[in-house]
Amino acid sequence: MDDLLGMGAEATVRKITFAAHPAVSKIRPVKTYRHPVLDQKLRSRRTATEARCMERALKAGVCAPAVLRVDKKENCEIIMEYIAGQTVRAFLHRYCPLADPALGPGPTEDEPGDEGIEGEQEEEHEEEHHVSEVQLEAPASAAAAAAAATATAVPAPGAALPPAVFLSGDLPLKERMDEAARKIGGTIARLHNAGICHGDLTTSNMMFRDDSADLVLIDFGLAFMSSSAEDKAVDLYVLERALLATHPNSKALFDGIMENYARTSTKGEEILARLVKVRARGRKKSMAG
Amino acid sequence: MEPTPPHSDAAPRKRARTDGKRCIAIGFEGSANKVGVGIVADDGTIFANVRKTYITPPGTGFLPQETARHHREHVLELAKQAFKIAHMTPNDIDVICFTKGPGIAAPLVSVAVVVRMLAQLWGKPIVGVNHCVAHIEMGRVVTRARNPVVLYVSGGNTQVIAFAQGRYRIFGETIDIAVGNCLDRFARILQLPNEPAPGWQIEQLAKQGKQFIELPYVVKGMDVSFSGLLSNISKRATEMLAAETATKADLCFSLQETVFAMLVEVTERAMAHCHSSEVLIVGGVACNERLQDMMRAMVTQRGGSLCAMDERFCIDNGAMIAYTGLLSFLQGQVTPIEQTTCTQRYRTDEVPITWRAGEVDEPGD
Repeated sequence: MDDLLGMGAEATVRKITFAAHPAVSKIRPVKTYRHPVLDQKLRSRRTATEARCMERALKAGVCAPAVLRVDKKENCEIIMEYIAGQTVRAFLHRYCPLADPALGPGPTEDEPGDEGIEGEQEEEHEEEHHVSEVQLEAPASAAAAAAAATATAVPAPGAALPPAVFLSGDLPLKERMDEAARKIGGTIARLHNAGICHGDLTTSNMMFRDDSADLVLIDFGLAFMSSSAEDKAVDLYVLERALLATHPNSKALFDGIMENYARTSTKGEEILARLVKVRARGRKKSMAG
Repeated sequence: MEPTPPHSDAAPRKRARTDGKRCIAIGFEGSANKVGVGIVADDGTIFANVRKTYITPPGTGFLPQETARHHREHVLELAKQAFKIAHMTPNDIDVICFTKGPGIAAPLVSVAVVVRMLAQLWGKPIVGVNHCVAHIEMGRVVTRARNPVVLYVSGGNTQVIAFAQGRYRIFGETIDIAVGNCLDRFARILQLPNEPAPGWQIEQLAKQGKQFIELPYVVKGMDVSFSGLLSNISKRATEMLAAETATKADLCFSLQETVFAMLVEVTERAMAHCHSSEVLIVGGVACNERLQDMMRAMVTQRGGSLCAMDERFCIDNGAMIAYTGLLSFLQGQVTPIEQTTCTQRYRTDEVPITWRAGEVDEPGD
């Protein structure tokens, strides 16, 4: 098959054409290792939950790929909007200085080498459009790059910076990271306010759109509905771990994200207090720690 | 042999025998209901590996104090037996290794006391060993797996582990009870014998199971949870057996199918994440053939390979402690006697894996 964008543990993601538009098909294939009854139920239930969470996120004003078609039965397939953009992971690799001697070598825990620029201080040259973990996105597209360059004049609603400036313009690092933290923190807070937990908030699962620089959450494969502060704190904890593991000197960014999260969240205080407890957990951790 | 890390003045001096002989270690394990003594060389050769298991009557588990008493009663006799099988004397030993943790306090301590005594009698250094790391290292030397994703499943532990940046990192784990504990406790509810092992009894019964009963399936990202599932099946088992809507075999079958599917799923996620193509299963539950079959099916579908199972790294034993302690010892590490304490909580990722320090992280394939 053509245009395979990604093959994760659970699903296969391809770029397709749907109703004459580029789209993404996500299929959960049969896992022969598990009992067929269990397999069908898991695939079907997860496909349904994923589509439902995406639709609710969209309704709550959170950017996510639009759901175009859902097959919960046979194929367990979701066809969704194709997002032209770059992952936050690629964005950070490009702008965040990587090697902090105090923190050891650059990122290794998460998909080593996928951007091909590790260990280098990447400057803001060349439009780099990277493929995300679930790869809802095509490799570098000249057209998309051009679109980004011309979008300067149309600032996104609520954004402090024009999209092209934020994505590729000449900008002090701090300003760019503050804006990124605003976008990420605000988006997650709105998602949580709507009672949705993403379940896998990593920088590979967030993208900046080429045209508007809006933050789009992708891969709702582990998302679920919940109103508990615990679940939301765990969601934030996953982000923290992923961020610090993949981008070693990103603590300031995470703090900025939390600041913006607290501002937009309806239960910010409770959730952040819970996050402190979640961090302290873990089986067989030493009592002194 | 592992590649040795580059020498630096700050690092402890590496040890090697000057007489050209291999380094020999004796290891003592007693973190749970098994007490074992093993004698090994630094290339993984096992000269002796003897063990005794504390078995309790059906419907009961093993209690800390009674288990400790069992270990105290047998540990010296096992040590004598090990020397006899290996045709060695304490003079042939370079280092004594023991399980520092994690495990159950009373049995751990009962063995540590013996180790301290023997070390002073024989005038030999001691090395404290992390039990989880010992399973992994024994698995690597026996299977020759280079850099596998490790699923560590036993009565006390359930972890998905991969080596990164000098440590065995825990990518996923149980957030409540271990999978082996879940199986053992269900075996107790069904009043199955604890001999040779409750998990083995469940496995045999499951082979005759016909009906699949849906049970709670709890995977949260890379983590798993079994306690809710255990409560659910325990409650329903009594009702279903009384009403004859399911047999014990059906229940065992459904339990295994569900918990193993959870384990295989998180292992697959770790493989995808680490770009690894090898899987090694260690710990007592690794002996289960259904788990091995399911894992093999998953790994094959991904074009990878599953390392063969072997009792030397699956069931708790002294040889794996001896071998892993020896790896530390060869890096110049010893545990001073006043630090030969035990700890119930000792995470796999707390141990700096000095003998793999020279390895650069790389995509597994």
